[in-house]
Formats: sequence, structure tokens, C-alpha cells
Amino acid sequence: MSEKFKLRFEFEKSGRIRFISHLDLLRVMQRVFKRAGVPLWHSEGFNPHPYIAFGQPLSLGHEGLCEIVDTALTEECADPAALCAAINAVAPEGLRMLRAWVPTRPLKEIVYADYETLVFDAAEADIPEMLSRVTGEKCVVLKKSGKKFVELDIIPLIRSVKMEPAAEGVRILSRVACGASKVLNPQYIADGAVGRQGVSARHKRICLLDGEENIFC
Amino acid sequence: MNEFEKAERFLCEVQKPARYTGGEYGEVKKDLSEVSVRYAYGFPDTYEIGMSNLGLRILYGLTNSIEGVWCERVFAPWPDMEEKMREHGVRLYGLESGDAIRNFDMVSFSLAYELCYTNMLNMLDLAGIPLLAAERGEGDPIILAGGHCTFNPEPAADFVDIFLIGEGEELNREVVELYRDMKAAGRSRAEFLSESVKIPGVYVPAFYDVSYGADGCISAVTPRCGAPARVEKRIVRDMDKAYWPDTYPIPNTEVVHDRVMTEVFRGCTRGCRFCQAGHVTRPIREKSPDTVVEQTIRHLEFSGGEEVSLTSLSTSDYRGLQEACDKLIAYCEPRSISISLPSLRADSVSMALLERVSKVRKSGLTFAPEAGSQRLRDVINKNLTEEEIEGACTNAFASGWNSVKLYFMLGLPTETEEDIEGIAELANRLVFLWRQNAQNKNRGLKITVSTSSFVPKPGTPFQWFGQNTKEELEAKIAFLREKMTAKAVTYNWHEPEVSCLEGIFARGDRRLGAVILEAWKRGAKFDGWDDYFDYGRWMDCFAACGMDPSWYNARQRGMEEILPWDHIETGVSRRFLARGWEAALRGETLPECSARCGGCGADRLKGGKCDV
Ligand code: SF4
Repeated sequence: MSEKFKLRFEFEKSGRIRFISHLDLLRVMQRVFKRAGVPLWHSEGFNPHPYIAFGQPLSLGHEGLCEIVDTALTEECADPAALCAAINAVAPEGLRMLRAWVPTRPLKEIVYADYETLVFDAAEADIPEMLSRVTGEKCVVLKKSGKKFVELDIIPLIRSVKMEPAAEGVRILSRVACGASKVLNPQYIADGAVGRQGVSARHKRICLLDGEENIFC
Repeated sequence: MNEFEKAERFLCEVQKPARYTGGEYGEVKKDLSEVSVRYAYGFPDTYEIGMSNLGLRILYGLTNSIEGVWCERVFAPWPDMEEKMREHGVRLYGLESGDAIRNFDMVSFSLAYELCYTNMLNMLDLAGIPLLAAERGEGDPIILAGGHCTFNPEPAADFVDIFLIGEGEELNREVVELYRDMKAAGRSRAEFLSESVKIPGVYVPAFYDVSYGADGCISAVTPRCGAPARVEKRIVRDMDKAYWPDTYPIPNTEVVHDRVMTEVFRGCTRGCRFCQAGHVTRPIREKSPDTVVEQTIRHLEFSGGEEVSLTSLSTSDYRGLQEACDKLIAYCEPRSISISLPSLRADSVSMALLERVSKVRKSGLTFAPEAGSQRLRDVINKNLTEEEIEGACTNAFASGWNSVKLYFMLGLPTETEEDIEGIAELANRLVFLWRQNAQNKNRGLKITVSTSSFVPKPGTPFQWFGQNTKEELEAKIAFLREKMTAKAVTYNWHEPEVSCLEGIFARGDRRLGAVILEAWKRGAKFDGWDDYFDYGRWMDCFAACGMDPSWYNARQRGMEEILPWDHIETGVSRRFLARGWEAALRGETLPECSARCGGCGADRLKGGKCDV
């Protein structure tokens, strides 16, 4: 097997491209690497495939400002900044590599994420009630699981939550579980706060954090 | 807030929202201060289908290459998206800008098949554009339409301002440039329409009066406003010099075909009498192998694609195939790019080539004998003999292939029970050949026989033929089902209803506009999709409009009858088609163009001999 040089990228997925699914993102990444001529390492065997692993999948419709993707090259990357620039030149709108480095920590050390959520169906006056709903002992929302809905108590999955008025509604800043074992989609905070399923909201993942709540890198 | 920004609020609630966002690599964005004409390239089907279309890649690039013109894409939203758009008052928007196409200068529709008419209407309605050309005025976009359906544009005549007949590389540019220049000069919509008919290939249906006789047939088609009596289709004479885009939008989400596609020639040398494409795309014009290779590499490098397909109606007939493939293999192999060659004949040369280009997956072999007996194959001029099929299968079975797909049509002219039985017999003979020749029988054999129902199309020697009725076709399917006894053979058939409807519109006249409008009002859309096609509803609409559908599809036309599309010239003469019809009835074949020019007349458009 050829030698493998791991490389970690921090990237942004914002604007219109937030509407592609995680699976599509994987395909787009592969295409972009190919167009940029990135010397991707491939597994051996009948159906060789490259190594591409994401920190945490980003839900369809969510923007991410510091997403993580790991990959492996067949050679050492001499100039990560130049590589990022080469990739960005052939990437679709909204997908942008911010930096690249040789990883030292495994992806499974990601435990939390910070989100900024804009709730459209709410106003400043609603903030106290919204906040009390998601900071109480228990806050049960309906979570989609396959074709059914199941009840989920979101309180144990919320690390912290703040709210502030915004031009288009209410902004929620939350730190939630975002690891291999526990994960919370911030849509459920919006649903829990408003007290209704399927609240109209827009989400942005601001950063990924480790168990000590330091930025993961 | 533009339309896309309004839609963003609910996009997460619809299936596959990436279809409605634009923003792909290769999308063209322009600075509005440098744009004087806004153009929407409309595709009346889903994003996944439209984005797999080579025509879109070419015409999108072409239109955007015109100075001062910004061409955006727009597809038919799936009904869940449509519902949300209507609920929130979002108008159909161009994917590039997110702006309502209502305010564009021109909206074109690519009409590839008859069942997309209701989608065109639905898109116009979602855009907020009046559906009827007669109701559009100053300030409304000019509605254009091109594509194979326009070789009989009449059923859509009420809805379209300008039909673009034939190939678009030169025609579309001329029309858009004329519009741009007349707009700059402050000329009106009406003035533009009148002026446009001076461009060969432009058909403005409103400028033609159609009158009918007591028998319901057309008695005269009279042009007005300086429109030509006959509109001749446009072609590109030299394929090596024709426009080919450097870039095109690469979808971010999965579509039907994401691969690089390079057309190797236009037209067809075969002359199968049922085939509309083979006739209306004539004369035969090839690209040189060097052009094919250069254009393919250009798109592979741009897209980062891993698969290329060389397309045409019959790629084995491309004289430069060996040379082009040799050069492409040299480029593709070291880069793990695969080459696919659809519509390859099952002759030995092609098979050898196929083995070389594809990373040999010995699974499927495909043949389209179209008819079950040699007699009927002669009628339809399908030059594929039993010996050829059996020879190819014998070789293929011996070298490890173990599945064969066979395609046939039911309802061809002069068809008898023996012809239909012949389909089952051919399948049985292949089972026998496999038993004799297969090296390894453990894996078993799978033969799939599929039948579709024949739809007579304009511009072919069968354009006069009365299509089999739904009942006749259903009886034929039932008959064949009974004959299909071998265990290794699976029989699939298309329900005839879709073909019957297609048969109505394929040869319809402009009186059908009322039925299309009625069907749309009653909710018809995505008629090409099984989930949405509703034959009963269509029949109700015919009844409501007081029209007899069988007059359009099942009626044998008289050879002297004025046909609704007679004033649209494909280059193939009506005399040649009539000769073909008579020869078909006598079971006489026509040699293919490479052996001898059959004198169809299309070479006149080329101004020289065909590339055969
Ligand atoms: S002009 Fe002759 S060679 Fe050309 S397409 Fe017609 S029949 Fe064939």
C-alpha cells in the first residue's frame, strides 16, 4: 500500500450550497479535489476509493463556518495555503477551504458545537418565555426518526443557550452536544422554545468544540 | 427580497432542495449593469433530467456567450415545491439570480417529447406569464420553443410566440441578437416578431391562418405578415466549427447523467422507418476525431468527471470511432476515466471496441431488433438480422456474458400474430444458444424482453399510419405474455396509454391547444411520470372540448392530405417519405446511406454530400 499523508481542512459551507445533503457534499468534495488536481490517496483493491471523513455531518439547510474534513494524499503537502487556494478556484459557490494542516487529534474528540439560529416566527417580546422553555427541567420536542416522530427531551443535550432580538426575529446562540454518541439538531431548540414543531428558522454552525469546550482543530 | 430569498424559508421542507438553488460550479453570473437581455432557458421537466441534457449545456453556453445577454436556467419544480411556491406566493425564478422570470425578456422551452406540454403551461403559470400567446403583450417575455417536438409545433401553437426549428447553435444566436438590437433601438414586441420571421428557421405560429374542410382535415395554411410559406429547419453545416462550450454548470446534487457527453455526429445513416430522430436530424455531419477528443478533454478537465460518453444515434456508424477511441483511451486510462459508448451496434468490431474501452463488466448485452420477424424488420427497415443477433450472442455467451436485453415495438404497420410470436421465439433461441455456448452455466442466464407501443411520428415514412388503438395494443401484449414461457426470460411491457396520448399530440394540429389547456386546468402535469399520468383525465378533457382523440392517433391519413406540419421542412422530402411508406408495405428495404444515398433530400441543407 502506498504511503498515506493525512491532511485536515477547515472549510465553510454557506449560502445556497447549504441546501445540499451530506451525501452530495461528499460527492462534491471528491469532484472538487479531482478538478484541483489534489493527489488523493486511494485505497487498494477492486474498487479504489479515496479517504474522506467529515468531522460531523451538517444537516441539510444548515450553514457551517468552520467545518472539518480529513483526507489523505499520496505525498506531503508542501504548501497548505496554496492547496486551499487551488481548491477554492474550482469549488462551487459557498464552499471554501479556510486552512489545512496535518491532524494530530482524532475526529472523535469533537463533543460540542456552537450554533447561531435565527427564528423567524418569533419577536423580542417572546424571548423570556422561549428562554424559560429551553432552560427548564425538561423540554420535550417531537423528533423525526424515519417516518415516525418520537419524543425527545432536549435539556440534557444543551450545554448553554442565549437569546437576543434580531432584525428578522429572535437569534438563539446555543452550545449543544455534537459528538459521536450524543448530538442535537438546533432546530429542536427552536421548536422547543416556540413550543411547536417545524418552526421556521435558519441555522449556522459557528464552531466545533472538544470535551473541554476548546475549539477543535 | 427576490423570489429565491422568499423560497429559502421553506426549501428545507421540500424534497431535494438543491434542485432549486443554482450556485453550481460553472454557473454563469453576470453583472446586471452589463446585461440588456435577460433570458431563461426553460426545461419542462425536473432538474435531474434537464441537467443531464447535452442540448442544455450547449445552448446555455451559447446564449451566455452573446454580449449583453444573461441566460439562466429554470426547471419544472416537483409538485411539493410547486405547492409551497403557490402557498407563499413565490414566482418561478431563474436559478442563477433568483429573480422572477416574469420580468425577463425571453423564456425558451426545450420541448423534447410530447408529454411535456402541460409542464410548460404549469411553468408559465407559476411564473405569472399569460399562457396564451394571444394574451401576451408589451412587457411580457417572448416565449420561444425548440427541440424535437417542434417538427410538429402545431399542438403548442397557442402558447408559443416563436418556434426555433432545427439546431440552435446559429439560429438561437441570430434570434437573440436581433431581439437585443431591436430592444436597444426601442422597437416593440410586435415589431420584433414581424422582423424575426426573416431569420430562416423561425416559425411564428400566429402568422399562419389554418383553415379546415368539412372532413376536419386542414384545407389551407396561409402565412401572413411576411412569414414564409414554408419554414426550413436550420442546421450547423460544419460540426468542427460549431459552437462548443468551454464550461457548463456541474450539478452539486445527483442527476440522471453527470458524465461528460460528446456528440460525434448528427443525423443517421440507417433510415429505420419508425424513427423520427433518424430522419429529422439529417443530413449526416461528423465531427473529426480530433475535435471529438479535444472537446471531450476540455469538458473532462473542466468538470473533474470520471466518465465520458460518446453520443449519437448510432455510434458504430461514426467513421472516426476507432481513431477517437484510441486517442481517448490514451488520455482516460491513466486517469481512471471510463468511456461509455451507448447506441453501439452488436457487430464484432463494436464489441471488440467495447471490451477495450469499458472496464469489462460482462453483465449486459443490449439489442433492439424492434420487430420479431425478418419480414417486419424489413418493413421498418431495421437492418439487424437474426443471424447478426445470434452470432453476437453466441460469441458473447462463449466469452462469459450472461444477460441479454431485447427491445421491441408492438403495433408496427402490417404486424401479424406471427410477427409477435417471433419475439418469443427469438428469446427462446437465445436461451438455447446460451445452453450450447456458455462456459459457466452456474451463474444462470437472464433474458429481458421489453416492448413499447409504436407511435407514428411526423417526418417519417410512417407519418400517415393509423396507430393501433389502446385495445389492440393491450390484446397484443396479452398475446405475447402467453407466448413467453421460458423461465430465463422476463417480459416487461409499457402500458399503451402513454403511447396513445403521445400518438395524439405527435401528429396533432393546433386545435389540440384547447385540450392541453383544459388538461392543465384540471391538474395535469408531469405526464411523462407514471405517478402523475392520468389517461382518464385526458380522455375527459377531449370529451369536454368535443374532440375525438382517435381521429388524431388511430386514423390512417390519406397520402394527399395536408398534414399539420407540412409547412415545417426537415430537409427530408415528403416524396421520399411517401416512397418509403410504399416500399414498407411491399416489405422492401432501403440500403443505408453509407452504401448508397437514398436521395432523402437532406443533403441540400448541407450544401454537399453527407459524411458517409
Ligand atoms: S441525403 Fe442521402 S446520404 Fe444523406 S441522409 Fe439523405 S439519404 Fe442519407
